[in-house]
Amino acid sequence: MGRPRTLWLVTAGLTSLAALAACSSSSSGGSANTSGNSNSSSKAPYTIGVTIPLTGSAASFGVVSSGGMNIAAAEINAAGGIDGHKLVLKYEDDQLVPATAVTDMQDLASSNVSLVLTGGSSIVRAELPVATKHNMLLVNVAAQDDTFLTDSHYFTFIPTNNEELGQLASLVYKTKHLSKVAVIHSNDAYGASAAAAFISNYKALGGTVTEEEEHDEGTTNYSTYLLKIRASNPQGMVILSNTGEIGHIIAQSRQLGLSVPLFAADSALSPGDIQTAGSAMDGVEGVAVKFQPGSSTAATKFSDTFKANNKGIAPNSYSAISYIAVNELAAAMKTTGGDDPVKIAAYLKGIKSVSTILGEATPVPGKPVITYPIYEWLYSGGAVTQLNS
Amino acid sequence: MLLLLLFVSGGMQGAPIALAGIGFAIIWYTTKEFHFLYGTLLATSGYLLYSLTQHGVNIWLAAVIVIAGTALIAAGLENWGYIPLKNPLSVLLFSFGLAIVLQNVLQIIYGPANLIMPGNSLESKTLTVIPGTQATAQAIQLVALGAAIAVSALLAAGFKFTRTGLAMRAVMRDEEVASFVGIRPRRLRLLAYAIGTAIGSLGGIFTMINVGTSPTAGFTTMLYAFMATFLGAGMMTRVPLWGMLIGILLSVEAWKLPASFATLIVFALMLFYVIVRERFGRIKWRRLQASPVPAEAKP
Repeated sequence: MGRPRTLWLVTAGLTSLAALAACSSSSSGGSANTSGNSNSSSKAPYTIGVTIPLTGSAASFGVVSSGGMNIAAAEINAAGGIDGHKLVLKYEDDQLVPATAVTDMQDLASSNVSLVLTGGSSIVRAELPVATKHNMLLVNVAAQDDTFLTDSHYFTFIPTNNEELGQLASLVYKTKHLSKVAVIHSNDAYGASAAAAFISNYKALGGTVTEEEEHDEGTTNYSTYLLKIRASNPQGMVILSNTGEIGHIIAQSRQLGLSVPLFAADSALSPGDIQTAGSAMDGVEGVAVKFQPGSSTAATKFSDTFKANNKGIAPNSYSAISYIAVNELAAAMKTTGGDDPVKIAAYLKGIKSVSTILGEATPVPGKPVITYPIYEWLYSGGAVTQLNS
Repeated sequence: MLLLLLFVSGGMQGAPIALAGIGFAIIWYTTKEFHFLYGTLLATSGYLLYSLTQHGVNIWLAAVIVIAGTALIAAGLENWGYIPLKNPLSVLLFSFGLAIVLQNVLQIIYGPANLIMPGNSLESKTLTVIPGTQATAQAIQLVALGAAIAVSALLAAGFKFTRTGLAMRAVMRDEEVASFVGIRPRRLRLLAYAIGTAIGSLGGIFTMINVGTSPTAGFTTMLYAFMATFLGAGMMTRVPLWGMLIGILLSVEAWKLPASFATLIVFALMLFYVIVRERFGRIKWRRLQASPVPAEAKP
């Protein structure tokens, strides 16, 4: 009785040890690698962590963002990597849930990953303390909240709300000559910060906000908010809500007889919102960082590769920003000779100007932000027309 | 003028709540079971309508199929799922688990975002509700309001003038005593689930056509339906009125307060009303007990 049992235990123990050894050797985590490392015949890979929603309600963002990142990593590795070091993207699914994102960051920290790509205001807010504690650099590709800019462990490759919505305020006040508008926005991190940025810029130009309404995330019936806005007699209405909400707001504003000009940011151009808004979408204007596949040879090549890799899904500005972010991080690692977050941050802040698939990317002086040309657009006749050049 | 517009808008919001409340109340008053799956079935009705119409089925035929189908599903669930459990708490937990499973299935099939019906004339057509004012409503909202009124009237007549309606009222009052006089409670429980879910599905279909639906949309509707049922205090005729009032309050509170306070205000008022009702009810009962019985009434 005892011998077979002992044999079983020994077998189980050896099997476990073998499995543990196999897992360790296949792990993609890396310590703070330097170019001096060599591992018999190849150099140790550089790892960039990525915390984005791969499942859940925001999975569509994760698809377009990771698509851009994967293309960049593949191109870099095809060209020999970063000074011979293969670039590895270690994905963690945060489902756009802050608590999950914190766990992901801790997992990456335990794997000695020091550079992390991420997105979403609520996610960044949750992750920054972890990044500070473990001396990691958080590189953002989606959140536009200005409040993160003062954190030394943060860098962003997307224009902030102040940049983008400052231009929207200018479009509304200076170009369209509307001095009184109403604002409707979601009551989440994006909506609140976007509204604050627009309103402060608009008031600085001399405009007046007749009514500000904030709604719960995911609301589908906006009649109460829109009736109050209509009663305030605005000359226009600015919509700063999320994808999936804007289409309803646009459609219902027209149904309720609110015939003033409507303005929004780039989230209004999602296919779902355009379908929901229907004919009410005609005449809506706004601003966006816009990816135009035909704008350059590189942009066309990126677009074609993205569609080929992602079952025909077309890339958008988030895809392009993610692609640019990985490329610039790779350039930083090549120049600094490793993935030291302090050196990488200093390199990124020192970028003067770089040609990208989104146009000329320029830094915002004194801030850890890269910005791109922001386009003014008009939706008319089923198509988006660019108003400025 | 704003108050009038908010009142009209609230009435339109209240119609689907009234329908959902009627359906939930029939089930609750008859069986005393908290059918947690009810809300998710309402959302499922919307999704099924979408799928059928996308496959070329006429929208009205699709609606009939969906209503009949969900009614059968609910009756089957009661017969083979809830009744064997015997314990109301077990029914609640079982129903809750089913609701979570169904929500996730809907999310896997249709995605987590709000899904809308492709453009239809009922949703896009706007009509003036009060001539000479700016009070407007979508055609589908007016149809939902008419349906809520029609269903309420039909049910009131049914409960009063039909044998089945009277039997159901007896079961609502006391199932055990009803069985003593030859009424078959099990059959009426199944009927309650079928009719209640059918009425709720009607509301779910109207909501789908109007603003679309999402896997979690049914929970909020069920919450308001439960509120209307609870406030109805056992009287079916009051439930649709409470449903309409809830919709109106959700809108009218924005007249002087931020619109985002709607849910808070409505629930606070409900709590206040319940407390007052319970206290008033106790005072009334004590007075009835204290008052002397007239001599001629004594046996």
